[in-house]
Amino acid sequence: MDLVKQTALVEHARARGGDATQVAVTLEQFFDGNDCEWCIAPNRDEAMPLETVRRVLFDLRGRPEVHDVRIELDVLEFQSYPDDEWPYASGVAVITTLMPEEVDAMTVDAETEPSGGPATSVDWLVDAPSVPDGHHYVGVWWD
Amino acid sequence: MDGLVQSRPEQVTAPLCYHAEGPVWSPSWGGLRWVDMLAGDVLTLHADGSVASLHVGEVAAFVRPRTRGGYVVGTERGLALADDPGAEPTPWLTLWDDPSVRMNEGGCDPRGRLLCGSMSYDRTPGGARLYRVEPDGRVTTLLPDVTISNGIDFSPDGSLAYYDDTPTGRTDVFDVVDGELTGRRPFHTADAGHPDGLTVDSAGNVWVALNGAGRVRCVSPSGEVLAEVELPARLTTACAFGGDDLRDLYVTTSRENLRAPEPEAGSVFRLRVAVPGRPVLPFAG
Repeated sequence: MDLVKQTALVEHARARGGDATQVAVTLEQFFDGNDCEWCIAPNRDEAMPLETVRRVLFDLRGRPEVHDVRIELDVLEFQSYPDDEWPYASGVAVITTLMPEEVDAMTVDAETEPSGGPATSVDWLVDAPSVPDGHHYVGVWWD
Repeated sequence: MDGLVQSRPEQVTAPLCYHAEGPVWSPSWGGLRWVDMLAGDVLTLHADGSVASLHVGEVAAFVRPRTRGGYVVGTERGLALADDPGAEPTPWLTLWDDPSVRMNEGGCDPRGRLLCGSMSYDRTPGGARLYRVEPDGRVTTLLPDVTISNGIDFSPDGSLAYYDDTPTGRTDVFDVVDGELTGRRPFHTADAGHPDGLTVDSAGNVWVALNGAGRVRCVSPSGEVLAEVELPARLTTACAFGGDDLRDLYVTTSRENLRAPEPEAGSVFRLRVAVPGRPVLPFAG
């Protein structure tokens, strides 16, 4: 684990109100330097590595129909993060023209649940991605 | 093909680059230059089709000719200058110290000032800026909280500036009043891909590369989509006019972070258009 990046992410989330609310961060902020297998995608097959989740989400962001993908951090758990812990996330915000079931087909390799949405705004999330005209929010999550 | 686009895209280089960006045509260096941004290389296409490469640092974000000859190049955290088109550049300005932020794109305004913008490597929202650099090196922050500062260019009469902060999903337009950018407002929203580099032709049409969609789109000053060109690489990064009549539209492409890039990704493409571009605006410094 890259502790410099872990500290930077925690400090960023805390500065944005992450002790009390959900903060959205980029895929790079969440995954770069992160080898904490259980920081996202709980209850997935133990044989599936974090790298698979990462790859699925980066590939999703690279689709022409997808404007942005951001990790929805849960409220920060620790005041001081242990060296083997990373801020936890149970969901992912996808801004797209695709419908939830189309997104599901693209995230099936990460064992996601049926996605939520579509929603026209993401006002519960600090630093939510912008929603361009013609796009909407789809919430990818794990049980 | 419609009336505006007069040929299919032709691949004019091999896939030489990991992340080709910033094409710019200038007779001062004999034609087309562009950058392999994350390799830190400036590339020049010669008339015989050969390509020369010059390494300028960790990052080569953009290149523009200087009015006095030579060129200015955006480096990882600043600018470097060369007095001769073929010379290696010398560091000139450092615009910030934070190593988590790099230069991304730049261009000049009609007054010969350089507008250049940054992005954080991890795309932190609001973590980047758009700067203006005067010919004497004075620096002004124009936009303090952008995320991925990208293409910028001006209308033929200089009264409008078009600008992409990629994560907004839009190309925005500013009024230019006494040389200042004011009245920012949405101009065009991308319904596919991500707005990246852009250029304005002599009729005021805005050509924008839609990164991720493998397309370049032409939008009229009133916002009407006039044309769209598909390319065989999905990461279309930027476009610029060139050729003796400025009716060749050059498009750069990338294979950045792709696990399965197209064979052509990282190449430069060219297509013919009906409306010519404008000569590149040089840096007066």
